[in-house]
Amino acid sequence: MSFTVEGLMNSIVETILMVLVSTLIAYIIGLPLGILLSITSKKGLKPNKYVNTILGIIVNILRSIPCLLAIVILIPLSNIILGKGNWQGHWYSMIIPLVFVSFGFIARMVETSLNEIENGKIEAAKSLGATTFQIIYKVMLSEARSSLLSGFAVSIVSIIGYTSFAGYIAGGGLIYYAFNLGFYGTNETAMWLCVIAIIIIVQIIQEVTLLISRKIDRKRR
Amino acid sequence: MDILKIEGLYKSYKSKKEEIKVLEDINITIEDGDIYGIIGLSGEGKSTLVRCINRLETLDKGKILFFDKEINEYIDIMSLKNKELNEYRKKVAMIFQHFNLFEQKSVYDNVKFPLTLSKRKISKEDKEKIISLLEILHLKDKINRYPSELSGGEKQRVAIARALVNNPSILLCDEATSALDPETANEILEYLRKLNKELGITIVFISHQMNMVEKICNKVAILSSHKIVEEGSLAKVFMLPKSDVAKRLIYSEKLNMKLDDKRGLRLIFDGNVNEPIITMLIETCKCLVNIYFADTRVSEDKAYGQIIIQLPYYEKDIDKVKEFLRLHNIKMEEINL
Ligand SMILES: Nc1ncnc2c1ncn2[C@@H]1O[C@H](COP(=O)(O)OP(=O)(O)OP(=O)(O)O)[C@@H](O)[C@H]1O
Ligand SMILES: [Mg+2]
Repeated sequence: MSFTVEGLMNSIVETILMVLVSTLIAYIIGLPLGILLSITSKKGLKPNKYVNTILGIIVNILRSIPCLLAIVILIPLSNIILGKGNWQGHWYSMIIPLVFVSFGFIARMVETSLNEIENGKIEAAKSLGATTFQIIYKVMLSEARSSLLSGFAVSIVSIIGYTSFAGYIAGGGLIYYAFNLGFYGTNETAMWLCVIAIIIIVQIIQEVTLLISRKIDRKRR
Repeated sequence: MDILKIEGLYKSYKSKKEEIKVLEDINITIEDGDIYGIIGLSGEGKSTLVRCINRLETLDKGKILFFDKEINEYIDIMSLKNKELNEYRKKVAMIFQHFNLFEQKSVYDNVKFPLTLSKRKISKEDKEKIISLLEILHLKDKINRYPSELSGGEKQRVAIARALVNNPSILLCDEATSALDPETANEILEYLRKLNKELGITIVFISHQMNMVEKICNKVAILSSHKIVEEGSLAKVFMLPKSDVAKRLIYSEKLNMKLDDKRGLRLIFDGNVNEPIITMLIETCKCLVNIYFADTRVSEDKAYGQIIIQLPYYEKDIDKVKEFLRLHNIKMEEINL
């Protein structure tokens, strides 16, 4: 594999697409799951031992499956969803494994953020006649928004890390590109260029999210 | 009209090991327009009682009846389910010791919050209602601030506005002044009194501080050993306390009851005093004063003559009394009775 500017740009776009789509889908599953974990806990809004234990176990199992194994396990699922044989080598080939390995810890992170809310605020909302659903989206998500956003920064950065496994299914992306350049190729300068690009992407995502997270926090000011 | 009737209420908390009885056979009747005080020491179950009234807790036994002005009927609040329960809670609002404001919402949005629960769009009238409440509570200039930028007293006022925006019939106050300094606490009491008078809202005022209850309530109930040991008009309970707890709460925590029957103090007034000095003495030194003998006359607002009072029993209280009189330039002389 030889280095071209076009190839670099291509991998950057692939990485960004891969990460954004996976994070989005992982949050669509992980956010409600985290909310459920939080409200069904012992001190939660709707305590429910069974639901909480079962969801907890599922999340813990998912979280302990390494990304590489997830890719292998999920090949049949990818075949069903993306069509047999024609997904490998495309940027979206990594989405299913990435979602699979990350929604569990996203759920845990959401749960932790929501559990930080002082009980008094939830009690106040209840005393004013708010329904469970209203408490969740008008109070809990709003009061925890800053912490949820910091959690988002952590999630997205670790999902970027997971994209490195793309190599096993020729999934593309910047890390895979850099790996190929450094491992098989001889173009070390080009490899370092890719590494720098990755660092810049991670830094931008992290700093921007944290900046917004601080900016929207009305509590610590 | 009775707006709230609590009949034979029992409540206990059950843990794996034991059952803690928190309220036993509570019977209370609250009239529309009352400022009803519930006093008791820490752990007696005051918070539990208001939480039961708001249905944040369930009862073991007993009934709570609420007169719903919309349908002109009593409703048994334990029978309420989901939607009805939330409607009921909008009629019985609550404020808390630690305010419990939404910290990520502005003052305006905090007060708006209860309205957004029943409707999607906030009308012009709603906006005016919010503004006028904030005006009554002198928060108009704080409207776009966030709770973290407010003082304790201001926070509690926002909490009051938030509680009142749905026009509730009853406002439950659980230690609403306990986290505030005395001056700010008095200010909050003043607002509550005003709202009671102007909006006709019934207030249930929970406190462990006798002096707060005394300042604002027209009726009181005293909780002791998880039961109500005394109940009635403030005047009746305060002037003729029957139970030991009531007596302790009313007298001994405030005043030093013990007097020395052998020593007295003669106070001499020669026109240098024009203040209610005996009342001030009692308030400042927190000790009882027994007037043994008095012969004073007032001319041109100044007192002349002498008063003989019995002295407190303890030396440190005597010193306090003497120091107070000295500071007010009153001549005195200790005598044997
Ligand atoms: N959720 C609960 N589970 C178990 N016990 C509880 C619970 N809530 C309160 N208690 C117990 O019930 C008793 C009464 O508590 P409560 O908070 O009603 O007292 P209080 O009169 O409001 O006291 P304070 O003046 O300190 O606020 C206490 O002994 C407390 O430990
Ligand atoms: Mg309490």
